[in-house]
Amino acid sequence: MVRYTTRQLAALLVILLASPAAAFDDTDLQRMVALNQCEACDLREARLAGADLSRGALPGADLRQADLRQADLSDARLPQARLAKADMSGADLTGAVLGQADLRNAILAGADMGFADLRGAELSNANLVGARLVRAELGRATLRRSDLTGANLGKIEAIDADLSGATLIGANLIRANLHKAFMGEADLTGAFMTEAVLSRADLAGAVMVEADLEQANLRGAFLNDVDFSQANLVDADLSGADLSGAILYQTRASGANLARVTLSSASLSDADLSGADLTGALADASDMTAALLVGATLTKADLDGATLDRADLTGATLRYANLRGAKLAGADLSGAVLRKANLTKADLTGAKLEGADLTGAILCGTTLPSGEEENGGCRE
Amino acid sequence: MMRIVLCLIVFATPALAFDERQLMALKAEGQCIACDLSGADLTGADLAHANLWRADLHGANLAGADLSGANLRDANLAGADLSEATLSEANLKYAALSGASLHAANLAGANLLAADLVAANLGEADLTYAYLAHADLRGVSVAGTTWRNATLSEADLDGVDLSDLDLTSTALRNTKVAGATFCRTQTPWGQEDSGC
Repeated sequence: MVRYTTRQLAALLVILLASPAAAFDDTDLQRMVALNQCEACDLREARLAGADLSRGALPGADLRQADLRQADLSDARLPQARLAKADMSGADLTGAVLGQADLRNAILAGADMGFADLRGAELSNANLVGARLVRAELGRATLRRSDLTGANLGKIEAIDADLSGATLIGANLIRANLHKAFMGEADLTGAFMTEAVLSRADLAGAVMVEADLEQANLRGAFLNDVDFSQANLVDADLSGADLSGAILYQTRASGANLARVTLSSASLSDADLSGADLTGALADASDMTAALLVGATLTKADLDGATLDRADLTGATLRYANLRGAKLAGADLSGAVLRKANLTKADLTGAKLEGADLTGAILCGTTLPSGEEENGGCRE
Repeated sequence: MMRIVLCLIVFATPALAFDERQLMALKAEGQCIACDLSGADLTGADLAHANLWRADLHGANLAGADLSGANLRDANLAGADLSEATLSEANLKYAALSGASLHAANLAGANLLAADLVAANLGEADLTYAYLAHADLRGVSVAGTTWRNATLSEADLDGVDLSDLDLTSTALRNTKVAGATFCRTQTPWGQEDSGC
């Protein structure tokens, strides 16, 4: 190991601190400071912490690894600027134009980017913890694996944005437009997404535990294997969405529109789906143990092999539903409409059927509440 | 009160646009707000500290006139001859000066906020401490001008030839310089020769 004396170390430190080997072009820096504008100039590693660059024009500027902490960049024009690894924590970027800018690995923690134009910008791996992006334009922007913990993304326009693998724990996405956005594997634990638009978005494998999605639009979204445990989907529109393999444990989804959804192998135990519309849903092999389905519409739903033990289906409509081999032990079907439902090999042991309408239902190999097997509807 | 002496008033042509009574008012009271003095010959007139707010002086001859400290806010001076006039500390905010000749005029400390100077001639003018923020200077001639401590922030300098000027102490924040010519121009960032 090389040993240095205190004097040598001090000398080395002085050299390192006084080193004029700054990466930026000094003329460009002075020009930028005087004019508050500089096209495609070289400002790499420039120390601009706290600088007033508001309404500055820096298109295509090279600000890689620049120190822009607390800088005022409000309404600045930075299209196609290179800001990779720049430190912009606490900076004011309200209304800034950053279209197509490269902000990879940039530090934007606590930055204010309200109304900023970030269309097509590259923000992969950026640190946006606690950043404010209210009403920012993020169409086609890339935020892959970026950290947006606690960020305010209310009312953002982020159609086709890529947020895959991003961390959005506790983030505010109220009324955000994320139509067709790619959010696979994103962590949205406890995110506030009331009235957010996620139609046709891809959220496969995302974590949405305790997320608030009340009245959100998830029409036709890809929600395979998404964990919605204890999430709020009350009055949300999920029609046509693919929820196969999703976890909706203790999820509140009363009044939700789940028409034509795919819930194959999904787990919905203890979920509240009362009054929800599951018309034509494909829910084969799904687990709805002890789920609340009071007054739910399951017309033509495919529940082949589904587990509905102890589920509350009071007053539910199951017309033409396929309950072949479904487990309904201890389920409450009082007043439920099961007209022409297929209950072949279904298990109704201990189920309540008071006032249930079983007109035309197929009972073949069906275990009745009494435990007896009914084969009256078997076709030879 | 201010002393107003109109030295050379020439009513040469019969088709005068301005009202003679207004000119008398200016003489007597030192003010002529919003009055019509278009085309008037006020060559060498002493109008120091006169109040000519919103006055129409377009095409007027004010060569060599003393307008120091005058209020010419919102005045129309388009096409006026202000060559060698003294406009130091004058208020020219929002004034229309397009096509005016300000050759060798003294504009030291004048306030030209958002003034319209399109295609005006400022050659040899002294603009020390002049304030020209947001002014429209497209196509002005500025050869031999002095800009010490002047402010050109947010001004539009499109098509302006800044050759051989010293702008080292001139405020240029957000000034539109994209279409300006820099050659041997002394700037806060050193000599700029990009347009030589």
